[in-house]
Amino acid sequence: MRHQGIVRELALFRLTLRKLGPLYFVPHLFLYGLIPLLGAGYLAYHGDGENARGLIFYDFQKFLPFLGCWWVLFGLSGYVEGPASELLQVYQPSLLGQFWLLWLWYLLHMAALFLGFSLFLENYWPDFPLVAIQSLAFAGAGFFLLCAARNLLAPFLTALFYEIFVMLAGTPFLRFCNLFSLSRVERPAQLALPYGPVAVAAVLLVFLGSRAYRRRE
Amino acid sequence: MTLTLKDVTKRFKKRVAVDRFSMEFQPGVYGLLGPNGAGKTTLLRCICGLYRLNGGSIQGGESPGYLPQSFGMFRELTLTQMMEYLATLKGLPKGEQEEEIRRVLDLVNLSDRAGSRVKALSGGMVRRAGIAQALLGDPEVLLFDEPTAGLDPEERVRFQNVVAARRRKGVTLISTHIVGDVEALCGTILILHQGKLAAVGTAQEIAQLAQGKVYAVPGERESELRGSFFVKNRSEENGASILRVLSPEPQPGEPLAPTMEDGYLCAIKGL
Repeated sequence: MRHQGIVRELALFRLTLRKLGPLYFVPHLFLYGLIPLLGAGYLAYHGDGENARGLIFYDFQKFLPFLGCWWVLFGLSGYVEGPASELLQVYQPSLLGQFWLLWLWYLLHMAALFLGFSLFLENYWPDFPLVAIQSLAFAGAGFFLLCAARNLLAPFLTALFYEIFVMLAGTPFLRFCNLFSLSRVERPAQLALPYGPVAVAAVLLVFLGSRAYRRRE
Repeated sequence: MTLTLKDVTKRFKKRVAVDRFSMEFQPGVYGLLGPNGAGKTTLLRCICGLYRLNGGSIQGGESPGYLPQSFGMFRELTLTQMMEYLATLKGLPKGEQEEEIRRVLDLVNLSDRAGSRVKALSGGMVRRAGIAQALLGDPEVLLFDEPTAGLDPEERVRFQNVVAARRRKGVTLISTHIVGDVEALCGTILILHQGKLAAVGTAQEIAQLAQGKVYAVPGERESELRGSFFVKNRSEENGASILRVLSPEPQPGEPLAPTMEDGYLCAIKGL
């Protein structure tokens, strides 16, 4: 029975990705198009030095966490709004399995990017947990808002505004909630604060989002 | 199998939408009639688990086939892809999906549109696709909310045949405004009014609620109507106006044999 449930979730996951159509490839454009292109540009401009490698690290943080919520939001939005939502809520009473599959699939894509950079440039793997936690924060918060607000616009705009005004612009009065790290990760212990609590909060938001989705009038 | 509802109650803030509804549904086709706001859609959503009950209980009815009143699909997918998505959601094994999808699309006469994108389908076709997805996996409980809305007469007959064919297989509950559908299909008819079960019975039993209460009153005698009455319709016969009047009191007109619709109106208007 449990095995059947897992098979069903995997089958649904595949169909959810197919349902996205061209939107599925947006993260790919950034991960395997824009970021490597920018990296090549930094190397060409600054030479193979600390500056270029640091800028590449910043680019990881600028783009990868935000895209962590892309497949989650666009893949699952049909369950909370739109003409099919009522029926889908009857047939799929929980979105927890789909959320984790979608986010883990994104994590694998990020890992492939890190593998590529680590093979051709330098070892970026110590920074991977940082970016993974940041992407989980975006995905978890996005999922919570999607299920609580029951629409796609609220979580997407929230993620976009956060990306623009906090991560990219570094607006001073929003510094308290800025996930952006100015320094590379040299030791895992560096992640304990504040990223440990961020990870816990992100997981909590996922479960709260699931509760909000299952909440019935 | 049975679907048992016991004192089912659903409130939205102060408004009681379903008020202590109790019924045991045996295999068969049941019609749910009632005016707008009577609680029909709310009742179906309670059975589906979309609403949390404020009172009572529901037993049976797990994994129903459901067609909501407002039904749509992912517009960029083809009809087959959408059916595959829903079949997966309903837990149909992958190996059985292709044949089952073909079967249900054939039942609703959409086999030739299987490869069309949903956005290219007309409203009536989408509705038929909705009926088809409810039938996927041949569930024991089928819940239809206004299933024939937007269907042409031929497709309504096709729907009636599909439902009639599974009369003994499980419980089918149809909520509709179309009295003709209910009369043709449903062995038992439930009339809901202001959240309460106002009447239940066969089409003949519902018609009997209006026995002795239906009159054909000439138009020129309309001013003589007395007490509580309801003018159901006006028609013309040989150039003269005739009113079909429902009333528990004697009226100046010829008594008529009641129809099921007359019985329904008497039930909801308290005549």
